[in-house]
Amino acid sequence: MKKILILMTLGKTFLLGSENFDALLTSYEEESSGSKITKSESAGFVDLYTRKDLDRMQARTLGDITKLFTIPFISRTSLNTTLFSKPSQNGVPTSGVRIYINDHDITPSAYRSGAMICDSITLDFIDYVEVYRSSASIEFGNEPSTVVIKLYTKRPAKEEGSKIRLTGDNKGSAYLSAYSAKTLTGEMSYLAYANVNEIQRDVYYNQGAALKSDSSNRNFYANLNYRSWTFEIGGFTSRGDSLLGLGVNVTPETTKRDVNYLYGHITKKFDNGVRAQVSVDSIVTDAQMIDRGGIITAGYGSVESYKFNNSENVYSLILDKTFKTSTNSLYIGGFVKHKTVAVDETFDGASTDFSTNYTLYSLFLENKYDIDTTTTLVASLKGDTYRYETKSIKDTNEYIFRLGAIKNIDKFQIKAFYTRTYYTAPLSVLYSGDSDTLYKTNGNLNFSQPTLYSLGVAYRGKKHFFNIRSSYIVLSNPIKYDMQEGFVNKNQTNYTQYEASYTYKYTKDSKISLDAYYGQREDLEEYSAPYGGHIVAYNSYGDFDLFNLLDYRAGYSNFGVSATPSYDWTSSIVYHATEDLLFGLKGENILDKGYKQLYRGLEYGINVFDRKFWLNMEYQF
Amino acid sequence: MAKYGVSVLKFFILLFIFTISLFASEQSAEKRVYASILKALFPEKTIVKVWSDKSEKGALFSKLDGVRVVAQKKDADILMIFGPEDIENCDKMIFANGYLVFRRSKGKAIGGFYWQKGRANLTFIKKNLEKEGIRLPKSLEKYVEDVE
Repeated sequence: MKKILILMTLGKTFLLGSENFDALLTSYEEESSGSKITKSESAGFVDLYTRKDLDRMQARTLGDITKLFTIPFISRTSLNTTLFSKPSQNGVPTSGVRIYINDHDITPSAYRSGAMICDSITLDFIDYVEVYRSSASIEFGNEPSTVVIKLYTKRPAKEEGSKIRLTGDNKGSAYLSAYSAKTLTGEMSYLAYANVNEIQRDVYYNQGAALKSDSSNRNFYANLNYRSWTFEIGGFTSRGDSLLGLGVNVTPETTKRDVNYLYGHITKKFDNGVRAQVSVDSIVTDAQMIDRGGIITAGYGSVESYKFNNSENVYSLILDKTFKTSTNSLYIGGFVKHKTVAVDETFDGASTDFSTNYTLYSLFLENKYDIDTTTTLVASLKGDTYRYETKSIKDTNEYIFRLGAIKNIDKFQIKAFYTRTYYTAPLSVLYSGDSDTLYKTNGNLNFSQPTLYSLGVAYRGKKHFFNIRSSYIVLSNPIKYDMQEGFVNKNQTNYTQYEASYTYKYTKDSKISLDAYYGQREDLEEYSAPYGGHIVAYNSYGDFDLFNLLDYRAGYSNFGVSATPSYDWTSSIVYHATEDLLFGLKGENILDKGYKQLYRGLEYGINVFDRKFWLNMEYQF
Repeated sequence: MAKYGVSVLKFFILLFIFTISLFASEQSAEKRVYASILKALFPEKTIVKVWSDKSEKGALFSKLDGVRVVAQKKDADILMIFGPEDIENCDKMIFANGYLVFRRSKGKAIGGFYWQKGRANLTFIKKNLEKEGIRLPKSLEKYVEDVE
């Protein structure tokens, strides 16, 4: 018996010792992903996009990833900014989606004039992306939103090198980026990144007027890590055309927009576990819209020319700390944010300007308790106080409350959340100085308050994964614009959403996913695709990586125009010429049957993604 | 008949123990990497004595089968270096962990396990392997390099 046991031990050693070492290193790389630390199952329904995923899809910008989103899905506004839209809905309120680079919120605008431009956020310096939905966002220690997109930068200790990327498309777009990340000593490291891109897009015409959306973008990011300190700076500039502009007949002559965003962020982790963050954001937006067909304004009637300049600053101080025992985790914190806004507007010859500011005070706590090894309960509470400088806007106190339970049963995981949160109303709907300008603002508005009842079931096998998620959302005090009354609170509405996904991982490097989603308004109206789905395949064969995506969205009607069902096929092939050099080819909306967004005043839909073919080269050194 | 019955029972008990021990040995990839490295460098030793300059890594090594973590460098078969440790006058076998440590100790280290260009790398330094008279198993030969 003893001899047999010894033989078995040797056999075990042989079995483990003989494993393919390259595969073992790959397992180690996957095991070392930062998402193992940052991913928070209790923060909502979470989807992870790894660096490997991003490389195989040859993702350039956040816009490329959002193509894989289910609810909300991606579209574009009439001014060519990013529109997150839920099935059947017009769009998610802008403050309902927040994007972070590490722990910095890069969507802090109080006025919302900077707007969200996912195509301006490039990804070459990003290690992985986490997307949280049905979230209360409390554990991110910042302002509220129900969708949180967290971009985590590459870690110098893992990079220890530099990379350059050059890519261009068949329409004349060009994209160049480079980064370097190194440890200088055991205690100091840095990451520096820069990107320049010129994006050419399809031009559409309406009554002889060109609807353009070309853009010229610059991105940069740098961090310096020293002991328990992290210093970050980042930002982007985006200059370009705003597609439809603001004209009532959609006959723009000029739709120029220029956004400059810059931020600095310092993080210090103290020995006692307290984390302190100080940051400053600056957003400057210039826009000029000329439309001979007339731009309807609330304060100046119909004008042909509208100029807009907005300068915003956001100053933040955040303190937080987590207390952990073997079964309990208590996260507490608070922050103060001071936001200043200065707006200049010109309506034909008439100019007007105003400036204002407000301060947001916030206290929050979240407790996670493990009842046993398979069950976790989460309770969160956050209180926010908005104090406005101008008396024209009423001060507001708001709260977020959340209860959740996560149960793991073998390979199954069940999540249930009750979330009562709110969407911050941007200053652009609350205040426009002493008189109405472009819109009729309303300082007495209540913030919209969504209450979410969410349930999800996940199965995580070795090769098979599936998810079923559903949410029932009651939105109190939705804010709408009425040409006579201006911005007003409307009656409570209800919305239901469902989604399901299945992934089959048939080899270590190859997987195929299918998903489907559906969203229904209380009134059964369909202002965007009511349902859709994706088929996504990632494959690796020797030196080649392949990525294929079919994005299907149902047809819908809006503004008296119909959009047919859409099939957006994206395909990417990467050839690894050497360990450090790769070449890629990518086709986007190859069939030219991709999703079309419908707009008021336009008799046809406009592609959210153009039909394009990109050539790509990347070199590491 | 009863004899065969006992044998069959023994076989299933042993099969059960073997299966359980395989699952029980499902370690993190990092542990498996280090277990393979140490096994390759010391194929004859039943117990490899390891010293590390990083306490949490010492805890990791102490969990490996056939490894004992020692408190003094002089008692060690190999020094696992993660930080700015002075190894200039050291006569022990050295393994570098981390890119900066590897670059700094190329003259003395037998090899290194480190991240570079976003990838995990394992490198054994040929001239230092020869100095120590070590011949690696075939599965690790591809990681041997002429590092200057």
